Amino acid sequence: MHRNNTEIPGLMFRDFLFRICIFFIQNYIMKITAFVCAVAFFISCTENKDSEKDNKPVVTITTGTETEVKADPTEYFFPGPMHQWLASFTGEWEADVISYMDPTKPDTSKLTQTYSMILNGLYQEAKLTGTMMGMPFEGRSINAYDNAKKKFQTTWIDIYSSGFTYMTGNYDSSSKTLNLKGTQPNPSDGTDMNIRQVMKIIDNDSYTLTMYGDAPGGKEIKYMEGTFKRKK
Amino acid sequence: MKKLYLFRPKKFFMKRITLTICAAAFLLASCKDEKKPDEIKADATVSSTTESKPQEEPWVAVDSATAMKNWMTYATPGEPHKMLAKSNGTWNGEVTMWMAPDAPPSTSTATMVNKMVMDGRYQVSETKGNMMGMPFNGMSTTGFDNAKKVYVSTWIDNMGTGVMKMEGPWDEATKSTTLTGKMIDPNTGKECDFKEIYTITDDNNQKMEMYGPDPKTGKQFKTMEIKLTRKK
Repeated sequence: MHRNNTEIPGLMFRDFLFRICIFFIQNYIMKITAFVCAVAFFISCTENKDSEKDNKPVVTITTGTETEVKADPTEYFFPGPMHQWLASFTGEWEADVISYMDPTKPDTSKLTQTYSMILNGLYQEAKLTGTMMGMPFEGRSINAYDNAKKKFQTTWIDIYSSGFTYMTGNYDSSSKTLNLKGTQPNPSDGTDMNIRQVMKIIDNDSYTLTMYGDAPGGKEIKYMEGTFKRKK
Repeated sequence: MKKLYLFRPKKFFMKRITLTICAAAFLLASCKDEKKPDEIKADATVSSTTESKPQEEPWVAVDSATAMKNWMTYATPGEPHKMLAKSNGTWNGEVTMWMAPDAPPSTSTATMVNKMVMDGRYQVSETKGNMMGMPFNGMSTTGFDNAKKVYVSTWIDNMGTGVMKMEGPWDEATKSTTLTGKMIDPNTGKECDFKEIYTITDDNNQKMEMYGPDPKTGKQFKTMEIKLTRKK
């Protein structure tokens, strides 16, 4: 009994010391946590700002088959600067096209490209008509700029096919180049073949367009190249 | 004796540390999340390049005569294209839309004009209507890919900036095509699955049903039905 009584105040004092210690430690930990929080918040803020500044697609968080996109629903429905850029092509263009269907005998043809904006300026329709390799040629593409994906999208159909060519890509303003990549069906078995298109802007009234794609052996070859000049 | 301690300093302290570590780990994890888009983007590009590589390997070289024959077969319109052509003309549509599975439907009318382009290889269909009091215009291009043996369709309208593409086979038993594809849901900005069932009842009656994700559960439900009657 007696022994116990003397021990208790001592224990209580130790307890008190512990409390003081823990109070300080707790305080210290909380300060660190607050600091870490602040830093993390700051980093996340600046990162977001940076990505906005660069106008980089905040866009692609690809998880499996699902593409997560940060989209502003109101922005999605309206034509933006990229649609205005597409609209600047509206009109008729003369095209000198060299096609390498037979790489030993490249064929040079003259075609006409007509651009128009459709559906309230949201999409561009392009029609290519003329004669290629002595045969009548007609093709049509729909060119879109998806505000949500922040990517150009192109579908192409022509009279020498029954499938669709799809391409997506971005415009690089520093090199004034629109790079598109995608697939077209292989006529032999319906598998997808890679296709790539490089559109280089020379000035307001001229640009070049080069197409590359898979060839036997899986090697990429140049399909065709064209020089386009605005009709005056 | 230990019972007399007002609290258990060691245990309490451990708890604190654990909490702090958890908090720090969480913050670190969230910091990591901020960087994830880039990392995953990089992963995606890596996986896409590795995915595209195997495609190139099993390329079987065919002689140019076979290639040309394949190409001609591929580009020649067949029975499926004739079936598309049967729908040429003007159609009246009764549109029913559901915003959610339990929401009351809204109805409107639309007009659809179909015509074959590219010498009978593809059908362009232009829809004019009214959606929630706003003029609605849409355009689809439908083809039958002779190599993939499926109907392929693209859709664009004045309520978005993306391109919806879908494909699917014809089912003779139900006289319908079930087309599936992916689209951006502007509400979430996520890419989601959708389905379109196109039924040809007879020469003068068709039905189009659209299925998309329920905004609450993500489960597919019928979002739209259009009953089409040929305009006489």
